[in-house]
Order: sequence, then structure tokens, then C-alpha cells
Amino acid sequence: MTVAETATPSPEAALVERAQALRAEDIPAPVRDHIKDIVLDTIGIVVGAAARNMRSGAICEADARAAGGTPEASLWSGGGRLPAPAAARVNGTWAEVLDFQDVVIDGRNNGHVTVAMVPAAIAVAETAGASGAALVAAITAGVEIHVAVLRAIGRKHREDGRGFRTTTIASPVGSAVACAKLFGLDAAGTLNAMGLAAVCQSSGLLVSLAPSNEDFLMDKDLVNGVTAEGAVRAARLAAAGMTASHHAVTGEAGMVDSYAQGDGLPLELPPPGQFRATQVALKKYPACYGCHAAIEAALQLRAEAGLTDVHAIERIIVRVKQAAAETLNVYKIPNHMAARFSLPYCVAAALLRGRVGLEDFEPQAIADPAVLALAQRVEIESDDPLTRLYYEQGAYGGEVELVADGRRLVRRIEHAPGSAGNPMTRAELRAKFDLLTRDRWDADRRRHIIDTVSDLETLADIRALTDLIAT
Amino acid sequence: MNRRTPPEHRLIDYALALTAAELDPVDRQRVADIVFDNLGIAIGAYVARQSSGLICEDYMLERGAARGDSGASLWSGRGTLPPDEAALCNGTWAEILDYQDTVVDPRNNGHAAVTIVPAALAVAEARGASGAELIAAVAAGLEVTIAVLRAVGRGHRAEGRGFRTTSIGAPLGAAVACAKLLGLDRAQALNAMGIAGACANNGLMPSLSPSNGDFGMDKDWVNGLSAQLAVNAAGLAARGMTASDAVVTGDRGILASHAHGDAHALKTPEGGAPNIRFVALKKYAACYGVHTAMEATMNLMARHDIEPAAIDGITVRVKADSCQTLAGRTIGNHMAARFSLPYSVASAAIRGAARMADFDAPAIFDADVLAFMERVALLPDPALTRFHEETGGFPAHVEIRSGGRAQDERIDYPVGSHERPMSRAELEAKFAELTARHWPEARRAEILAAAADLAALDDIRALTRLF
Repeated sequence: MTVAETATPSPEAALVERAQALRAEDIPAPVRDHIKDIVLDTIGIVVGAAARNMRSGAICEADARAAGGTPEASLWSGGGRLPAPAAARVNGTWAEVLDFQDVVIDGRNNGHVTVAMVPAAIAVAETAGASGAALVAAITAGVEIHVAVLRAIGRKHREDGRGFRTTTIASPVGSAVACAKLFGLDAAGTLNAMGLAAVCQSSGLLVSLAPSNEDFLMDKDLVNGVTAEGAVRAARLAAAGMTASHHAVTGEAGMVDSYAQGDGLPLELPPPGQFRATQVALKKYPACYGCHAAIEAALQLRAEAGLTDVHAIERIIVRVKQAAAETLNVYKIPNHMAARFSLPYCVAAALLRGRVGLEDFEPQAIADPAVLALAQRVEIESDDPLTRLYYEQGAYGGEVELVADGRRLVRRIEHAPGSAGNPMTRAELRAKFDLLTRDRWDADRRRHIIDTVSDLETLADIRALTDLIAT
Repeated sequence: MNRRTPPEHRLIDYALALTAAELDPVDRQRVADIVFDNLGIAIGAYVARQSSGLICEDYMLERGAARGDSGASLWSGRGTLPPDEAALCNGTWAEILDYQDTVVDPRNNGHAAVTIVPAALAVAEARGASGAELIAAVAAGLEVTIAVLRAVGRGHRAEGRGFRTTSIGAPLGAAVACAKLLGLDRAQALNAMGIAGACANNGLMPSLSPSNGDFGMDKDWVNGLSAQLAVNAAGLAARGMTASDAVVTGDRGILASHAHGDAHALKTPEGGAPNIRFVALKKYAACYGVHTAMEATMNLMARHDIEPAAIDGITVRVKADSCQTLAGRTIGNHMAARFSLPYSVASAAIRGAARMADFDAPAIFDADVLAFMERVALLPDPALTRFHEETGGFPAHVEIRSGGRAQDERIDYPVGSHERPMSRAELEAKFAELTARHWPEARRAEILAAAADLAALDDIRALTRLF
């Protein structure tokens, strides 16, 4: 008797049914375009991190290449091909390093989704020789399930001091479904893949990102790669017959029971024909999304008020939601990751340099005494309306108040750039891609990749894209 | 403001410094017993061709076929793989029969060696470590795991939460064991433990919940993944990967996330490995929570000469959560049987024994046993719940009603625990039962001889070549 025969029907089964049925042509064009933007964005971030030889990615890749194995899927760094799970791990680690990844904007929860899912799905698609349309459908289905799981769980997994990372909770489940779809698994197989991923997911404890611990270390990057790897393996083993709970999210002792602390909601997708994938934001700056609105506000004030002399600024006050005020009040900057999670550093860099780009997180930039001194003067305050907005809409707002030359300058941005409420233009997204990849590829190659992703649904075999990325 | 040195530093210093020579000879032999018990269990699962192990190992071998490097043996004898992948396969096999070690401690239970041994033995083999080094590494790993479990307590499974105890503590101990075998320094070993803690599989337990009715294979695989993670964590730390040095006690760390206000201090053991005696080895191939009930049932029936057909009913009183988690009465596969008090007690009553074969097909589909389950009632017992929380024991109070008379017996600790250890003969009989169909008697004798003198082995490969 199989598990499928003994298990009672579950809400998970309804999600899987929708995921299996989804085809690229059923997805509205704006959603499809957003998914393609996400794919291009993730590729660019990986290539940008690898081009900078960021240490966590380099270590992970060296380790995986030393182990070797059947060459199935490409390392986007150009480092060759490895078994699909290993390629997903390496690409997924690189994708996380710059903290330039996607963000879910939802009133129930946030975290990242495609930073693990895209490396996992592309590794499987490349291995299986799937079409571009199949990849688009798989990622869309995976994102929808990911967001549904996040909404069912809510945010309690990070309250009262708990440190379970949002991304590692939902992404394995959505990613495993995306991979299962690409492998062509049936409903039972997909439920098994989902269950394996949910049960075997990494805790992703945020101990490295807690300012009080003063760590900011590489496990944050690795765990995303491990998540991508786990999704690929879950789908593979489910295809080979491994079983798991079909109630991994909603069942007793499952995800909602374990994480929601009494705040669980039903596991549901939006009505047919509706999608939440457009709630996935793409970042404008290579830093924690909680810093974005403040960065943007600081840049706008600086430009509009002509504040090029920071000595003229008497006070800098940054107002953000309560959790950000507690976790992003980082004044000690030992490495690039601490800088990316520091409101004082990011706002100081914006005011001093008039930009917050990749170069602002390089070793010399984060050790710049001028920016560090200015950062010490940044005051962080919790803002109740922004906290409410966050809980209601998932929005990452921020306000910057400057007191300079007897003037009080205030800029409040409720929706961080890159989110649906304040989207980046396609030109901005392509400029981001160019910036990230120009050290690796010439303009012709970059254009070719952009065009290929733009027409992803027409690609008969995804290897036409991965071959372009792999060299 | 200077940051205080986290207690993880002292724990790592202890673990890295521990040598086999420092261990009490009884403890040293106990570690060797634990190693060989794991080996036997994995072989027993392989001999039974359990699906989860085969799927995992077939997949890894298929992917590994083109690989030039190899380093650690698959205990099944099917070849070698890189150490992390061997740990994955062997760790999956070691979990399947639910015959593994169990920590018996007032603060927590769960399993430890089932993760630590596959990881440590894979690294030891790849490095050509000595038997003494393996013993020291496994002992250190067990001590680290127990220290973490004691600090965390049982909040991670309270109020419906399903975080598996083994997945919380064992990856850290296993990573430290591997770090020790790789010769990592303090900073690197802290990184290895930090990586393992932050990346540890959560091991959620919906598959083991009778209300879900799943009993899927993920339970086995997740243990293999934990063993693999430990090997990789140590390897990545050796290459320079960093992680928090306060993964247990730090803000957002294991205690903050899992203890739910019930955290204790993370303490470093004093003198040798004083806590490994609390690692129990099982006599029966089932969840440790059913052992005392089975034993009491068999004792009562033998003592009072009760025939199964004459039994009107059996009432099993156990700790409160066992009445929920071990209450399954739908026996769809071997795992459901191993986690069912009704099945285990019915099987013991009908068969007068609790053999390995009684927990696998076709025995689990025996209509007589399944029908007898209706005569088995479970009751939560507050006194037994308190006893469990105070001692870590798995008590059961069984009452058998037959012919108008009631006989009862309470057993507090299962066989194999510190209070009631298995004898050498019992351990060897268990090993023989598990491995008899895999190795000829002469090979088994060679392996058991190595077990008896593990500390004297210059190179652990003298043992692993026997696999």
C-alpha cells in the first residue's frame, strides 16, 4: 500500500493540482513578464557575485567542483557543469551573496523566493532539456505555492526572539514543486517532493544576522544554496519513489503547527486566473530591503537640497518599521554583509557619495572613515505607521529627516523601490543586469542573454540559454 | 562594548581536546558498541531492502558513477563515494528500522549516534584515522549533542510543534566530530558547528503523526541529510567558510528559536565523556516509546501463563504525548507499525516475542495481530508523564484482563538504557540478527573482534575494508 493510498486528502493536494495544470499560456502577460524579469535578475546577481569572487560563493563552488560528479547543469560563474543538485547549491549560494535578491511583499510575510527557486528550477530544466515555457510555468507555480505557504504561516517564526529564516521555510516547498513540475511528476510524486522539501528544509537560523552577535557570516549565503539543492534532490528522489507526508504544511506537527504559533491561516491559492507573483519585488540596491526606502529618501533629499557637504548636516534621523529599527541598527561594520544590513551605513553612504551601488560594499568602501563617522551620527527610530503598513501590506517604508543649515528636510517613502507600489522600469532592470555582468560579458553577449530571456516562452530547449550563461 | 565569549567556545575546546585515552574503559567500549550497533542496524535495513535506503543509495550511486574520486565506504558493500555522500546513504540506512540509539535524559531525548557515526566514520575512513581518533570524535560528538539537547529542552515539540529532536542536536555533534577528525582548529570547528546549526534540517514530523496517516520515507532521509551536512560543514569550514560562533546561545540561535523560554545554560562536560552512558541502545526495532509496554505485556503473559485468546483487554498507561503520537491503528507500512503502541503490544501478546521481523511485512499485515489491536487501550498517566520529564525514561504500566482477573506491571526504563543496559551477549545477538544474511559468520567474527579492540586500530580502513 502506498502513502498516496493511505493519506487523507489535504489542502496541499489542491495546490499541487493547480500547479500541475498551469501552463505558460495560461499566465497573464504582465505576470509572465515579471517572471522573466526575475529570471534575468537572478542570473545577473549570480554573475555579479561570481565576478567579484565573493568568498562564500567561491568556497562553495570550489568545494562542489572538487567533489565533481555527472555534468548535468551549468555553474553560472562559468565554472563548468556539475550534477544538478550541486549546480543549484553553487548558483543558489552566489545568488544570495550580494543581498541583491528578490523580496516577497505581502501583509502576512516577506522573505525571498526566487533566489533559491530560479537556481533550482534552471538546474532541473537544463538537466531535463525543458522548454522555456515549461520553466516559466514551473517558476510561476512555485512562486504561487511559496507565497501561499508564507501566508498560511505568518510572521511568528521570527517573533519573540526566534530566528527561523522566512526564505528557508517556504522556498524549499515552492522550489520543489517547480522542480517536480519540470520533471513531469504526477500529483502523488509532486506531493512527495513537496513533503520531502518541507521536512528536510534547513532551519536557516538567523544567528549570523543578529547585530548583538556581531557575526554577519557566510552561512547566510550557503543556506540559500542548500535550500536550492534540497529542492532539486527532493524532486529527484520523489521521482525515484521516495515518499513523504502529504500534509507537510497543514498537518499535525507540520509547518503551520511548528512555525505559526497560533497565527496560522488556511493554505490557499488566489482564485483561478489570479496570481501573486507580481508581489515579488526586485531590488534596486545591493542591500537588505529594509534599507531601501531610507536609501532612496536620502538620495532624493541630497539631490533636491544640494546637500553635498555632509558636515552641514546636524542631525540624520531614519524612521522605519519597528523590526528594522531593531535589526538594522548596525553601527559596527566588519564586513560587506554587515554593511548591507546596516541602516546607518547605507544612509551615510547615500548622503556622502550620492549613490549606493556595488562598489559601496567593497572592502575599501566599507572601511572608509568618512562614511563610518557619518554612520555613527545616524539615529534610528521605530515608526508606528510604517510598522502598521508593513503588517498590513508587507511594505518596506522609510523616512529620512535631515536637519541642516537650520532647515528640516523630510522625505517619506512608503513603498521601497522595486516593489509593485514603486516598481523599477524595465530599463532600470536591464541597467542593473548590465552593471552586474559587464565584467564578465561584452555588450553583445549581454544583449543576447537579455533577448533570450525576453522570449523565454518561445525557447524549445532551455539549454540555449544556459549555454550562453555558462561561458 | 566588548562581546562576551559565547559558551560554545569552551564546548569546542573540550571537544577538540578529548582523547580516547582519557575515557573510562567502560565508556570507551560503549562508544565502540555504539559504532557497531549503528553498522549492524544499517546492514539490517539493507538486507531487508528497505525502499528509502535503496532509493537514496541508488540515486547517489547513479550520480557518482562518473566520479573519479572516492573516499568512504557504503556500508552496504556497494562501493565507495565521497565522504559526504557515503554519510548520506549510511545515515539513511541507519535510521530506517527505528532501531537506533536514544538519548535518555530528563531534559530531552531523541537520537544522536545515528547521525554522528555515519558522518564520523566516513571522514575517519577518508582520512585514514585511527580507531582511537574515531572513538574520541564520536564521544565528543555525543557529548556536544547531549549538551545542546539539555540546553534546549523539549519546547520544540510542545504545543503541537513538530521539530525533530535528532535534527536539532545531532548535526552539531556530528559536525564537531568531523571537525575533530579533520584536525580543524578552534575557529574552524566553531564555524563547522555554526554552519551545521544554521543549515540543519528541521526534520518536521508530519510523517509520524497518526492523524496525518502518512508515515513517509522522509524520516529516514532527513537523518542521512543531517550526517551529510555535518561532513560538508566541517569540509567547508576547513576551506574557510564562516558561521556564527554562538549558534546555540546567540540571539536568533537554537535556544532562542527552539526552547520557548525553557532554555538552560550550554554546559561543557567535565572529565572524559561523562554523559555517553545516557545513550541507550535498543533491544527492539521500534520507537523507544513502545519498548516498556511490549516488555511488560510479554512478562505478564509469561508469568501468569496467559494465552492471547484468553485476554479480554489490555490497558497501556504511558506518558501523555505517547497517547497521541504512538496511537496509530492504521498499519499501512513498517514505519506505522514501529510507531504504534496498539500494534506493538498486540504483536507482543500474540507472538510472545518482539523480533525484527515482527515489524515488517508480512508480519505487520497479520490479520490476527491487527484484530487484537482492538483489545489494546491507551491511557495517559500523569505520574508516568512526570516520571518521563524528571528522568527521561519511557515508563509504561500495562494491565491485562483475562478471565475476570487483572494483572499489571510497570516498567520505568526500557532495556538498553543506562539503568538496564544490554549485556555483551545481547548486543552481539542483535548484531548477528541484523547482519547474518549479509556477512558470513567468519566476517562477522572479524568485525566483532575489531569492535572489541577498536581503540587499538591504527587505521580505521582495516575495519571498513571488511564492509
